[in-house]
Amino acid sequence: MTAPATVRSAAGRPLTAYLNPVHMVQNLWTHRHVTGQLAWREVVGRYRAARLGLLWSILTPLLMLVVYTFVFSVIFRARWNPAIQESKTLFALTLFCGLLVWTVFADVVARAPTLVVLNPNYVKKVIFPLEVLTVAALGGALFNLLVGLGVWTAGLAIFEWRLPPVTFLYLPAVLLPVCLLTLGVSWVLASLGVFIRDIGPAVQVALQLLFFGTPIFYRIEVVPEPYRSIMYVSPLTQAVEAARRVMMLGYPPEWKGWALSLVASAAAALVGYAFFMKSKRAFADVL
Amino acid sequence: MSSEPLAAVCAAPVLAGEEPAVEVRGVSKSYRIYDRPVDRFKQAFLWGRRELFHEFWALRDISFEVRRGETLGIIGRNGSGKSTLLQIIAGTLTPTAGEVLVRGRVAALLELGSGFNPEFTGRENVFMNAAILGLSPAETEARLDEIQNFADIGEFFDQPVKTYSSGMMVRLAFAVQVQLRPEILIIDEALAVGDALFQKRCFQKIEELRSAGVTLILVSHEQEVIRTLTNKALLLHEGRMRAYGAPAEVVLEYRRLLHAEEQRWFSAQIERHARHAPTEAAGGARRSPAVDRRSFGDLDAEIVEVQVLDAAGQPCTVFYPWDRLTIRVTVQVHVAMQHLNVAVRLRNKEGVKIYSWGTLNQDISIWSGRSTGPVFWERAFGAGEIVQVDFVCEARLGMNLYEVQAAVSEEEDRFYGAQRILHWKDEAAFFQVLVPKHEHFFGGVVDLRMTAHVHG
Repeated sequence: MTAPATVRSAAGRPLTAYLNPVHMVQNLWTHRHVTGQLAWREVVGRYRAARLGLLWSILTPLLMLVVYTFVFSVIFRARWNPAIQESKTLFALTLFCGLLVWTVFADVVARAPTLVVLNPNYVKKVIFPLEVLTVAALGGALFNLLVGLGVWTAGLAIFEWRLPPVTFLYLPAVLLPVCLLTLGVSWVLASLGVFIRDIGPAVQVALQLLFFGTPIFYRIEVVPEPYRSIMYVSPLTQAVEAARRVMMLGYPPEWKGWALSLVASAAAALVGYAFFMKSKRAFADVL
Repeated sequence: MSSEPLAAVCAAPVLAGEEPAVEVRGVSKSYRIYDRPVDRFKQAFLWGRRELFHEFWALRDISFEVRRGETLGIIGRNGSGKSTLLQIIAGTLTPTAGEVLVRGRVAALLELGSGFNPEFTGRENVFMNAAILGLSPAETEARLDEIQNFADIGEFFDQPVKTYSSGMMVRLAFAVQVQLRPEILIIDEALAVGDALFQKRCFQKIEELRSAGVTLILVSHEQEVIRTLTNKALLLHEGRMRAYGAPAEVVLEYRRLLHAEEQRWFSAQIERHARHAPTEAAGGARRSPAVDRRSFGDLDAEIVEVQVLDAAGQPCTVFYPWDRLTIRVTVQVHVAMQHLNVAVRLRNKEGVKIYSWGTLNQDISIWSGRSTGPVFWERAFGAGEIVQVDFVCEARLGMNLYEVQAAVSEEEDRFYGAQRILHWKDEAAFFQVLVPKHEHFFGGVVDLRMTAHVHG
């Protein structure tokens, strides 16, 4: 029996070898079990030591929804669409759609710079596919999204006395570009975070800016040009808008914009992946 | 002198045409010490135009191969590069130069409990570790019983790992790695933590894996482990290959190395002492210090040769208890002098000093009237004179390997009160004592020739 040899040498594979979507998908598929285990840990581990345990996954979005409802409808008396008479909770529920999508991105990206740094054991002491750390973090975020959607659906049913529209089923498609973008950005940040420790705080600030630069608690229509066009470049703008369309308004996504942001996000994922794979060989030298 | 390391050739059953499981070709590893992590990042984009680091070579030019089913032991002192080498083979570190070819699925036990999350239970960690090795939850489930059984940690299996003792941790880790049937298993000293019973089980398991064709690479400080468990060994010293081949030979070389280091430390102590006591250091014109790694002294007189001879006066390395043993020390005196003492010391392979004796001991005995003969101490030597001293005894020793150290010193005092080492030679010669099991058998380091008297 002669197995093909794995070569460990100084040179490593060239960057272009990793810029291959087939390689990326194959590699991530190979490690699906680790990813699954890690993602499960993300979900369970976060509140493991807490008395209420998994209940926190529900309490967190629930409390958020309550706070947003109070702040925006009671204090600000904000209206999503001034033309029509909205209930107090409708603004919060609409805002919540965009917020859930944003949170998937922000949660993972905020943690990305420390994903590798906080797991030195995985770098130095076990044979571990480090690239799945971001995927697992995304898995954890998607779980939280599911719980959030449950809370949101309950809110819709209780306060608005209605169910989500059928177009709700488009949500996975809406989320796909967000997930790809999240992975791409996180891979780059996870790698940079190993070498440059300032990345962490910088990312927090950048996320704050991006939060306000994404139409989460306002409609994109209220933004004057040229800013509106600039904002549309972000796949997140597309996704947040699309989420409200499919979840609240009952329209399908704008497919042209969706397709463009999908291509852009996929490219981002691939570049981020290649960057991570190429640089990860140096992690052990620095950690 | 028989201090040359025996040439070591290791023959393992090799199937024609089969490629080795692990091939290490000219591997070197330099750690670039960066003052700041960001420098490492910058370096990647400088393409070698400027160097932002200091270099430290942890490994230099290591080459060897391990065939399928072979067990390689790696031995060496702390910091000799053992762990770095293992990590490169395992793939957690990248070599700076050279390459490693690995054929087969690798599992590694690199550091105690490093793959475990302390907050999670043993069971959860098993699933995690198995997933890292590419197993699906269903496949892990199928092996869970075996793993649990081998680890044998009882109800702790469902407790968080943070409550484990280090022994339990290694048991679980070993159980996981072993039950997942790797083709190549790499173990770094971890076994040392388990208790005797577990170690025994590990060794049985290792034996089992070996016969199943699993290739093993293990690091150990324990010479016995290397000697008994492996069929090939590698001695690393300061990142280089010091010896490679049959385990027994490599272990012997390791012992030599430890010994030499210890000696170096001792002579450094002596020198330091001498510096702090100026009256002593003032005496005598010093020649060049130590001539080689195994000896030191002022060299006003020099040990030219040390031989171990049998009753017939022939060079011999194997003796039986009570055989006549002669150690012949040949000394050349370079500077005219008196008050010499030629002495030998015997140590067994555990490093225990068995006996030391010299011409001055005999002189003391003559001065006290217990024996007669010319007093060596009073004899004057001219420059260039050669003298041979035969130390004769019966080898009333237990089965072991013995090392002869020889020394010539100038004794200002008749009773070892003040001395100057002229030449001290470690490992001047070796001999073995075997015990004929079916004729005259005993245990221990010396033969007390006990007799049993039965009453009633």
